Amino acid sequence: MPDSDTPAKLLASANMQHATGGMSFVKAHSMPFFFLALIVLNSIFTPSFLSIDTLDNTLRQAFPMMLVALGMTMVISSGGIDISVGAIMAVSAAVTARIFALSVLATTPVSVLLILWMACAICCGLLAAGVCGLLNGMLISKFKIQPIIVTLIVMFVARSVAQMILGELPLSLMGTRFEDLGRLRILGAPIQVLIMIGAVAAMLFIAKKTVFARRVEAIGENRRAARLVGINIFRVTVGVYVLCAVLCAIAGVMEAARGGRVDAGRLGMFIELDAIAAVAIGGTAFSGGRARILGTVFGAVLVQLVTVIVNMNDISYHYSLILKAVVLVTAVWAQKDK
Amino acid sequence: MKKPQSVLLLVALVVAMFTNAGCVPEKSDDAATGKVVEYSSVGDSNEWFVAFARELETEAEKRGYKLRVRHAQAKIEKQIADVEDIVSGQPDYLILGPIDTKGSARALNIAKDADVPVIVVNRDIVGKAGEDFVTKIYSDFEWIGEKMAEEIHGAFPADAKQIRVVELHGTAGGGNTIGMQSGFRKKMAEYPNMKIVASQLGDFRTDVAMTAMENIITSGVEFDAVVCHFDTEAMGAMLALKAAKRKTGSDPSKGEIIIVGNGGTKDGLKAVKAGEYHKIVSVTPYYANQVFDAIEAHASGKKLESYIRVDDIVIDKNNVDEHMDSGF
Repeated sequence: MPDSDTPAKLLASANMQHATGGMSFVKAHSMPFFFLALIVLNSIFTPSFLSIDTLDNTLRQAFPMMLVALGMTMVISSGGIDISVGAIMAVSAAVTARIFALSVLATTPVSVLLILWMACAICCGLLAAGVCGLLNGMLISKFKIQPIIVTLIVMFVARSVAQMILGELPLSLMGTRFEDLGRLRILGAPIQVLIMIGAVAAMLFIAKKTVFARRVEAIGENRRAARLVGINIFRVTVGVYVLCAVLCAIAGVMEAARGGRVDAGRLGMFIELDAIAAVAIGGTAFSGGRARILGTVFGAVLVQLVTVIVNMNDISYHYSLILKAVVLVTAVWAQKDK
Repeated sequence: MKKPQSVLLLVALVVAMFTNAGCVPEKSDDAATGKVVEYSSVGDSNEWFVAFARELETEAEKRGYKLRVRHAQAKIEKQIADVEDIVSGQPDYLILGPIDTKGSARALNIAKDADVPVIVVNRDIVGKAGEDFVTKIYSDFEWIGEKMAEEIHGAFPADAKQIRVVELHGTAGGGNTIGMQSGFRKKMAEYPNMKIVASQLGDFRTDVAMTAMENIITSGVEFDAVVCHFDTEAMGAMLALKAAKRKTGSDPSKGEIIIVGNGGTKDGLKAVKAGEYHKIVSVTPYYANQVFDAIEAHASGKKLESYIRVDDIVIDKNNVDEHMDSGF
């Protein structure tokens, strides 16, 4: 824990980072270099790898994990962890889809009314996610329960609620306008990529320019000190988990639209693991502290890229797991000691 | 940790446990009147398992059995724990839907130690009939795999130069995945012009299959047909192909991709009717009568076959209407 770090020690380590120049440029930017190496290797070995379609696929497929990972980055920056992300995706998708499917508008051609109804359904989904985030933040900061326990509980509850909302069966959205939303392209760019750019920009702004991010970081670095300097731990913690939950909700709703169905038991299952991996690759310390948003973006793309490479080269499932492990270990190693 | 907080934590955990296990009904007092049968389900929210459990419940009620269902949420540890729980209540029979061929075999030992006879359903399991369990009842996945190969081959003219197939397979290690894969390959060996050009994980999920299909399309691999281990995967493949402006259907001469899958879901049948999904080799969840027939035969001391086959059919455009109602 950085609690024991004296200002002198921190200063010394900061100096060391700046003092190392020249050749260590590669080391300092090892992540982009590793990324570049992977792309160069694949442009040789993977057929049609260097194409706009590969980029299109990778970004669209990375979308849910990327959004979840962005939220997770802030949570981890605050010294916490959120394993309820997948369940929150499911609950928001379930709420949105259930409300949307209620109306006869669902299968009618696009109209103002339809868009309003869809927006209303999505807002309800976001709201449901917000409640989960609120619950996470409140239990963690007010009752001082470990984040992993709190989010585990919320994971169970949210998943069950999602299943209760849909009944036992998955809800099919095939043939509804909601399914079209998942395939929507604006000027050729998939809606997922546009939302992703917006989300990354917003998160970069929050992480770099706002007092909120400083407070999150302060809590992550040293909770006691943060409280002593007058930071409202409760408000900030709730804020972080609600932010994460809202990002999960967007991911969940868009996943439902992409696949044309909501399977409350499966949607978002295990996404927390990929998201945590993306954050780890991105270089955000798990003991809390600085949120590295761009690192996470790289991490998420990298994790998805493994699946893309596996699919494109027809690597069998068993080997694909090994490949994934090797890439992740190398990536985490490449960004350590920074 | 301070005391009130630990109490709160405990309460929260208990709440979480109950919301999670809300589907397990209370044990009724009049259990003594009818025979008690427990069903340990894979508990996946997949349509198939839901339909199977419902059918089992209906059949149990009809024949006067008390049936309790436990959903393992596709987790082996949960299934083992469920079975431990179940046998401690000494039911007359345990119906076990194994999650994994090997992993769930431990459940058989637990039941054996408690002298609870087991009927295995849904998929294969490692163990000996007559010793570890009474009998196994499920679809013949080898046959389904063979049939899928046959139907793909049949969609092309006899003199077709090559039939290149993309396979989107189910969860790795599952008895059904293994069965369908081996049956498909066995049959394919009879057709020299047919080969698999890509075999990727679809995991019985629309999103996973869609992702795999998108990437396979981008890789530039040429293919004429897609075989899917479940309808949900076929839906994902169709969405990906549609997005890539590739047509799917039944006529390869028009450049249509032939999709053949295993299933019988409502969405799948609709796609067959719409002409986008060539053929479905069914995997019927409606065999509760065979399960209870086996239980009654065993109870009356009859010797049972080690495997009881569930019959499946091929559904295409011609007979899809008569099967529409049995879509799950």
